[in-house]
Amino acid sequence: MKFRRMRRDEEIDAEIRHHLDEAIRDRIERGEAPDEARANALREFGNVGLVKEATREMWGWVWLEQLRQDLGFGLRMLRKNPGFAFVAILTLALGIGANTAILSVVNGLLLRPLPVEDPEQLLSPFWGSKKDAQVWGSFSYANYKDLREQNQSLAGLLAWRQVSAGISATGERHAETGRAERAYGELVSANYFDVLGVKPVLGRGFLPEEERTSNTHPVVVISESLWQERFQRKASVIGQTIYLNGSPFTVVGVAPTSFKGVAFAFRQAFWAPLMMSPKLSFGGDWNTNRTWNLFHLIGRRKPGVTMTQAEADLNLVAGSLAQQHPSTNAGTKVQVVPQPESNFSRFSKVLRLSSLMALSVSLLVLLVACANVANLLLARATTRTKEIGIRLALGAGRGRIVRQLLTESMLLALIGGVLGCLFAYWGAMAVQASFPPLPYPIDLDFSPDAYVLKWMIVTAMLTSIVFGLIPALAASRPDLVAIIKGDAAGQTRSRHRWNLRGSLVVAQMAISVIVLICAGLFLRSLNRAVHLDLGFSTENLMTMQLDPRLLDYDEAEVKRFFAEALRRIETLPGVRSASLAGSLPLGNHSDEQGPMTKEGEPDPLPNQGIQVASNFVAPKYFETLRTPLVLGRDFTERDTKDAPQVVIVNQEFARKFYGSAENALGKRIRLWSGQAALREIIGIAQDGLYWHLYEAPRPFLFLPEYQVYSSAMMLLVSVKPSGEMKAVAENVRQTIAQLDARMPVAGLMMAEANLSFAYWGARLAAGLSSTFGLLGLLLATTGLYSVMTYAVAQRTREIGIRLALGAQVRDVLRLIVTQGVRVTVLGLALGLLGAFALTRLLASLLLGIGATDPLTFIGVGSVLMSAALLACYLPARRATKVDPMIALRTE
Amino acid sequence: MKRGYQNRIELLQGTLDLLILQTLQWGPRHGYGINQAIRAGSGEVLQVDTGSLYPALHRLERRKWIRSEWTVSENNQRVKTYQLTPAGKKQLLAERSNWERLTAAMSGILDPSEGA
Repeated sequence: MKFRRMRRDEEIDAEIRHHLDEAIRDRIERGEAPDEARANALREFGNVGLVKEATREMWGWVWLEQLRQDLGFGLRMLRKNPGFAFVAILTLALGIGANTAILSVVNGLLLRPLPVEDPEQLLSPFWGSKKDAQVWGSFSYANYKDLREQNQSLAGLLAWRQVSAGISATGERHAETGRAERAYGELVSANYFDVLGVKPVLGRGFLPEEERTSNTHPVVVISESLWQERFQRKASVIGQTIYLNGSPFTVVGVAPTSFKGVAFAFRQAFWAPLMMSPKLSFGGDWNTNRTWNLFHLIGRRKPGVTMTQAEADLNLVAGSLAQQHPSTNAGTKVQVVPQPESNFSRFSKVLRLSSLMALSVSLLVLLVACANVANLLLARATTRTKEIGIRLALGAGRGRIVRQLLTESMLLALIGGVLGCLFAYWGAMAVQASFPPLPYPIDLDFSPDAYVLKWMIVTAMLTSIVFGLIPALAASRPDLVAIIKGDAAGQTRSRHRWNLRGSLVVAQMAISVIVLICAGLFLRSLNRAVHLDLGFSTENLMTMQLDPRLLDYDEAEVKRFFAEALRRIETLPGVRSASLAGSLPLGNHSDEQGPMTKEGEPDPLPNQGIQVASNFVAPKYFETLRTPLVLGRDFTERDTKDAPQVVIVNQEFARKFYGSAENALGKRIRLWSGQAALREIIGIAQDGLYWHLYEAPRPFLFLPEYQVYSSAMMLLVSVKPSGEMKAVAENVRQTIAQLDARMPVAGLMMAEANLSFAYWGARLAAGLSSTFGLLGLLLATTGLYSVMTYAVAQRTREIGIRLALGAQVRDVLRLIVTQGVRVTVLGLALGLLGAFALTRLLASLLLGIGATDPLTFIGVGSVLMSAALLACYLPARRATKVDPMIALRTE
Repeated sequence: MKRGYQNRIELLQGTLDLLILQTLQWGPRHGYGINQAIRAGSGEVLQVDTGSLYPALHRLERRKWIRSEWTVSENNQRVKTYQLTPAGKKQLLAERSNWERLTAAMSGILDPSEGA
């Protein structure tokens, strides 16, 4: 290759030399003097270098050769200016790193598809009332089966439900060997592994006959880690028995580690056929009752079928089901979303908005970084004017020069990008570490993958064009005559460049203001969140998960166990009070009950009734959480299944449905259906927050655990200020062990830690935006500083003259600072305007403050102004040190 | 610098290719020779810009419409001469008929009375 290139170059040289010789000979023959002939021939020929270049380019591959040359040259230029290279690369690395880190997190949370075959074909259908714009409901087994069998658009439709179970080696009760461990898994349809295309590493998935009859095929597929833990990876595991909730299940397969289940973030330990629901989740008429919406669905589109077509097709089936079963299915519809979007259901909008926000903010920071590097390049272009001018004079095309300069920019961006990837990795890991501890096996991976790397490279490339093009264009158009005369930069040109650099700084300032205002708003919002009245207190509150059904307890046994456990725990030293709840408020858990009707009201149409948020609680829940009851009484142990049905509501419920608390007390409501008994409202609890920090007052129901029954409960223990946490925790453990030594107690933690999930969003938003804000401020200020320093250097002579003519130090200071302040004020004004226009997009993510919070705007304005004044003052002070004599002599 | 080129008579790219092929129809020539032949043949009207001529020659060579040969001239200089290949002859015919259609069409538009 190299040999051929040499020859081609030589050939073209020889050919052109011959052309010139011939031309000269002709002219001499026509009587011109040799010198004259030579000059005329050259003039007629034109730019020899350019002709050679253009000719060589006809042979293709030249661009590759040029790229190699440009890269080599670029590297040498960087090595010659290590200071410049260091600052530029670091700046870009910070910008690209911030960006890539955010994308890694968004990718890990929202974008990364399931690790299965062709995940882009997967969709998640949701079920709900036609009156809702977006529905997020799950499906009953009966409806699922009809949808699966009657749809035309899906290659497969699977159903799954998240469950937890006690895993033990034997099924014996009340024996040390029967000690259960809480494990999480999925109840799944028989086609689960086939639809996903996941191949078990050992054994098989499920068979169609395992989904025919309820409770008859106790088989299980276990995870690779469970296989490792309990069976030491022995192949003989197939056919062996493990006990789930005290019942024997035969292991038929082992799922690969790469597949952790379809529930978001969970790492499942087992999969069982959904027909085993009576053992692991709900029994009764769970598989025939069309109102038991127990299952989430995932479908695989047939080739060529769009999301819209699939949704229309499923609704065709839903429509015919509504006609066949009007009492349960009337007024329902199906909506589908791409599978990854199903993970957050009703939260996905907020998450998508926040992600978009974070990405935009990091992009803004990258833009500020670009402006900084562009400024550095512009400054350097001035010192390189001579080099570029000479290359242009020697026949390099302008395009060639621009390409050379862009290659250098790209080189900077790529090195910055690689370094940025390192920053991104750290950033993503920091975000991952900030993820609150949850009492579940969570496996979230935020580390950058191939998709993120691709994004990083594209960003770096685009970045290099953004920051490289303007300086390259400016540098490749110098005034040749002026340069050759030795005047490095004519007066008019430097004025032009100052404008360019000035506008870059204005843009930087404006963008930094926007990012800082975002940061300020989120910080103020976090401050509000932390001091928010939650309507309950987590002070000295300990929580743990209890579920006696993991040990195959029946309903009566569960209730006996809970009542006895609470009785004993209350008497422990250091315990203030104890209770049970289905979930802790703000604990990333939401439950709705309905339809709800007031006494005397007719039943609503199917799927049209009012749903009310709710929680199952034991007596003393309100005392334990320090939520006052404004009226009425608490639940007691006597509020059992056979006693009159009761309910406690919150103030908002009373206000919304009865006008006032006084009015609501003693009134009766009906939940679920016309046959259900009426429940008397026996107490009104003070309003609080239930689902998330940003909610408006919401009607809420508290249902008595001993009357409605759920086995998976959270034990809440409020400890006296004098109580020793560790000792109390140990005593609680022992008390439960005394009742049943096998009972698993999971997720023992302080309630504050349990709540951290609720604050996570606000904390992350504040943390990220202030990091970005400070980064932006730092970059913009250094940008201003470098531009001011440069401006002072350019005006040395002028300042010298002024000083020589008697200007005071104060005048010089004012001269320089004014120049910087003008830029800053313009940037600040633009930024404030931009922020005013943009921050209203954030309104739904802010808590207790407006998106145009004046304090934030003023605060950010003064911070930026002070930073900018400092950035101007330092170069200005240097300007006052100019010695007039030296300044005048340099030119 | 580049502006200098733009002041000369610019030939359409296809036109220059046609001129080169046509010139080589009468036998092998070197670059300068082709340049002079076009200039003389057009009565000094057409001046081929060397910045177009050499790229064009190399482009045609790459397309295998012409081929080159290095010889040594009488004053011991290495000379590259070009000659038409069979493919180039075909191309010349094709471009000629294209050109004739183009000029007929052009003159039809510019001077309608002549056609009538």
